[in-house]
Amino acid sequence: MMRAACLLAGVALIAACGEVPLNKAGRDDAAAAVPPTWSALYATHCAGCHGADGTLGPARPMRDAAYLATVPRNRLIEVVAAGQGVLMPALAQSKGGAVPDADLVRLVDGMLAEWGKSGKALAVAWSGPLGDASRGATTYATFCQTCHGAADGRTPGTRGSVSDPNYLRLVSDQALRSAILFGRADLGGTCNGPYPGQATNRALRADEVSDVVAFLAARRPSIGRKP
Amino acid sequence: MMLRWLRSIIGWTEERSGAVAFVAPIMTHRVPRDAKWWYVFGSATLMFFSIQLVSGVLLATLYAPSAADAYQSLIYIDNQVPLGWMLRAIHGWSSNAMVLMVVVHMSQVFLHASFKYPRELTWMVGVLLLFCTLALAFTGQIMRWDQDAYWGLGIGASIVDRVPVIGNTLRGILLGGPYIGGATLSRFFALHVFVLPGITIALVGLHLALILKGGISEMPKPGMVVDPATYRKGYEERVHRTGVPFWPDAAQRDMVFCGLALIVLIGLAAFYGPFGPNGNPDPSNIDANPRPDSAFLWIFAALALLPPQIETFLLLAAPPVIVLFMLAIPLLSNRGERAPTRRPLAVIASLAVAVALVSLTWLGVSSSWSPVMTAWTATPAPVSLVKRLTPLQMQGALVLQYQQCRNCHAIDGAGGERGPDLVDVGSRLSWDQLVRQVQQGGGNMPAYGKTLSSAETVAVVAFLQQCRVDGQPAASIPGALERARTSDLAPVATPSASE
Ligand code: HEC
Ligand code: HEC
Repeated sequence: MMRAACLLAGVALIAACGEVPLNKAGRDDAAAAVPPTWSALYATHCAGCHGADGTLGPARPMRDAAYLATVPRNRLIEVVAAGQGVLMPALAQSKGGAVPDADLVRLVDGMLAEWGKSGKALAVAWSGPLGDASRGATTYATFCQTCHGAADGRTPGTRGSVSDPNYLRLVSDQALRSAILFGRADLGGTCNGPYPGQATNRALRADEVSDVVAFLAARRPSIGRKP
Repeated sequence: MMLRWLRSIIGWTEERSGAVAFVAPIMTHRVPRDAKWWYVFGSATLMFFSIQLVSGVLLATLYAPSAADAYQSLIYIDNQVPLGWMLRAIHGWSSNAMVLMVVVHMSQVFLHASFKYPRELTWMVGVLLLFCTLALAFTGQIMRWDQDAYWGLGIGASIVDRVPVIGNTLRGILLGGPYIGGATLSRFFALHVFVLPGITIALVGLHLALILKGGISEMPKPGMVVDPATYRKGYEERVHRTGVPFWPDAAQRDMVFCGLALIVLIGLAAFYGPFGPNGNPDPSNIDANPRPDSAFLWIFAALALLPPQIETFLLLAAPPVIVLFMLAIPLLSNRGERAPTRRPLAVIASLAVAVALVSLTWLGVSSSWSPVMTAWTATPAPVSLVKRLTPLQMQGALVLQYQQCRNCHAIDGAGGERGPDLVDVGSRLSWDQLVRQVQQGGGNMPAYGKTLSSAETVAVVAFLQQCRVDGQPAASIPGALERARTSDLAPVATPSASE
């Protein structure tokens, strides 16, 4: 009786083992039948930082027609795939992230088509070399100080410091440049002119943008684990 | 001829060692006739422990106990060594089975009040064995040196850290330094393969010796009370009259049960394979879904449920109280009725403990406690909050996303539920407390001291301080000299100035 029971249990177990797929890969493949839409991709992979509807997130808005019209498509794909600076993660599978590379391309094209519609590219390019830091100091004092305060901290601005060393350690030069060029309209911040009724009633020139970035970059302490 | 030869060898050894004379009475000592299937769990525990010893020694021949190589050596054992994965699977499953059997065995002993006179010491040693088993399971989980191990350690360290005055020193002793590193693994390896098994083997020996001395207890019968003055005599008489020899009568059942348990064990090991390793333990990228092994899941759920105010107190006070209470059980009541029907309080207490353990374990398993794995990229901070942040605080909000804090922490209901909602954390914790929590962890939260740069810490704390429900002031300790709030120079960065 007891022996029969043991035997039965053993047989049942062995039979059960035969039924099961030996690895998990098979199960995962089945899921990839319908590719997600670009907005679904945005919602799962970007919204947390760039805002639920593409604005008002902690990272710069993506729903910004001028921005999307200015950044070259291939550079956009590059940034999204490989990350940027300290806090923009590399998301592409080929770069150690979780999103299939093809999905990222579809996502970028979706953004360009929907949010980039009728956007007009700025005269100044999205990326550029660093300029002259000391010239940048003057430009900063003229264009930025009222809102962001004096770089030495003596006169505070109204919108928070962008020359704080800890802040600068966390943002890349490109992020600074993009902030100057496109501001944060969603937060009521245009960091670039024209400012009607003021001496600075014009947009910054390309060399001025590069100079201010160089000025801020020079204030970034060089310690820290990541660039 | 052959037989005579053998007999003379045995005779020669026996004459000098007395081994047979020693073992024979042990094997044939009389045990109560009614000691039926209830009594097999102790033997099963011993069997699993033996399996652990054998498979453990085999694993030790393959495992590289250094922080740099441990993970790779597990991959190697899994993929290169013939049946290496099976060895790991058996060691892992048998460890769980051993914990389970210890618990079942203890429950049976408790419900039947077998711990009463004259078996008090047997129970106490058993309690120590329970904690040795748990310690072995915990240190074993560390041997995997993966994400789970890293979390387990991080949380363990943050608990130790809370011990008043000597917490920091204890943490240093536990981890072999201020942080989890190479020295930590060596330490836990020594514990797992030398210290704890040594202690356990000694205690098992003592446990068995005590069982032999006190005899196996009878099935409890209502009305049959234990009285230390007369118990021993009565027991010996009864066993002599109606008992059966341990070998083969009782041992048979043990063997059948152990055999079945072994089949199940091998089945589970073959079916589910080894545990982990789950991802390299990269402290800068705590993004797996780490959980403690099943024996500790309930602790993990309890930690998530505890109100933060009493967390530290309970964490430090509960373990010694539990251990002392369990040890003291036979001293509190070592006479009287043994039958569960006559001990309603004991039955209710065991039921309560069982229900608590099972439901906490279930909570630990069920999804609401596990991180929302996409929250860090999918769930933004509330817009109303974002709107009032300075650039530095904004970066702090991004650190919270990037480090995947949101997978465990909701802000205003959106995000993971493993940790507390951060919506009002700024009015609950002061700047210094926030820094401490972020750097040293606590509760179920790992320490991020080594993960975050100083700029990231400043930014994230500056952000957390802004997490306040409308109108509430930032928490601060009145009169205390707090560290500089932030080096953000804008007025809005210093909440007191702006509000
Ligand atoms: C963990 C938060 C996070 C997530 C998730 C995230 N980003 Fe970013 N992103 C950032 C941060 C922070 C920056 C600025 C980094 C820097 O340069 O310092 C940034 C920068 C960028 C930039 C370049 C901005 C510029 O001009 O400087 C683009 C484009 C971008 N992100 C697109 C995306 C897209 C598309 C997704 C979703 C697939 C995404 N990001 C997901 C945080 C995130
Ligand atoms: C009219 C006011 C105003 C002026 C002038 C201005 N900014 Fe801004 N800037 C803002 C606002 C508003 C924000 C959003 C800040 C916030 O709420 O965090 C912002 C954000 C920024 C950010 C941070 C983006 C981020 O989230 O990391 C940078 C960098 C920046 N500005 C640079 C500059 C520079 C450089 C200048 C001068 C060329 C400048 N700004 C001029 C209003 C201004």
